Amino acid sequence: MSYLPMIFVIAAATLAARVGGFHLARRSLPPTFDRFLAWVAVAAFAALAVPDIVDGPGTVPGRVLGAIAAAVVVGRSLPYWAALLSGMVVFWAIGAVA
Amino acid sequence: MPLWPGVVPFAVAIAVAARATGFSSVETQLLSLTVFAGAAQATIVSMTASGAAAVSVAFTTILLNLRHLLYGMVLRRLMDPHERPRPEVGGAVLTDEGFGLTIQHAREHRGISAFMLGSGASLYLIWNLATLAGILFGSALPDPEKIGLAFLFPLTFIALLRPLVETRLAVGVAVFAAVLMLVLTQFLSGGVALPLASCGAALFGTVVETRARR
Repeated sequence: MSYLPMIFVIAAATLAARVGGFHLARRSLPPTFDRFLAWVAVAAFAALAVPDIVDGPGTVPGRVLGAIAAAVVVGRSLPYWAALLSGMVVFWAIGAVA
Repeated sequence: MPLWPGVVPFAVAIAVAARATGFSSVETQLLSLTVFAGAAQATIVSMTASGAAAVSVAFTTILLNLRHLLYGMVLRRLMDPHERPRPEVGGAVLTDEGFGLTIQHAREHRGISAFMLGSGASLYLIWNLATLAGILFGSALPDPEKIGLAFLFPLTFIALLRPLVETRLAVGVAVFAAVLMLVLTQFLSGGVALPLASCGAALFGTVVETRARR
């Protein structure tokens, strides 16, 4: 069975969504909608992250403490790779002792 | 480049899973070349593996990717009106990670469009190379799931989220989004729940902020 038609339909729709937002925002928008847009990043990243922390690989304490470690590292203005590394080290360490 | 460590294992894992599900090597690489969205590709593979119809897979994935429409709107509002290159060029390779990096960049710099294109192209290149590695060497590589590398996915978004939550309301919006997502995924697929939770939480922030200004 070929998955090519499905792949191309999804790719075309994704490209349209990616490019379409830039076109839509060229028009003048109500201030309330501008305020809504300002919250999109916070809302989307929280919604993307949390399900895999609640129910993901390893142990719950490992995932929660690993996420906290990554947040602390970024909060201290250290680079993203350091946050990912520290989060994984804590995650693995808790998993090893659990 | 700062998020490469987060995307490489994810791309490899999706490529290995896609091949195991029955996607050919060409189809697996085409997924990364044309769709280029980790959460969407993971959804395509997992739904196909569970026997879902192609129409259902496409519908769910397109819903999931609708958030890119909002990402483009957010970034366009932060740009100067005549930025070069045209925002649509970089927008074509915009991902969650690229969006997060560009938002951070926009806080302190001008020239958002060029940065967006650069970060998007960088992630596109490494994502596709990692997919190719997964196709060619997947059976020889350690299973990313078994060694817990799948945890890099939420960690990436925690790292992108942290600088954005500097007020009590921002924390509230993040918590609201998280709780809403967890509740919605009890009844809906992740592809449907994600745009609903994102929009619901952004709406929550808007309402609270608007009331506070009155």
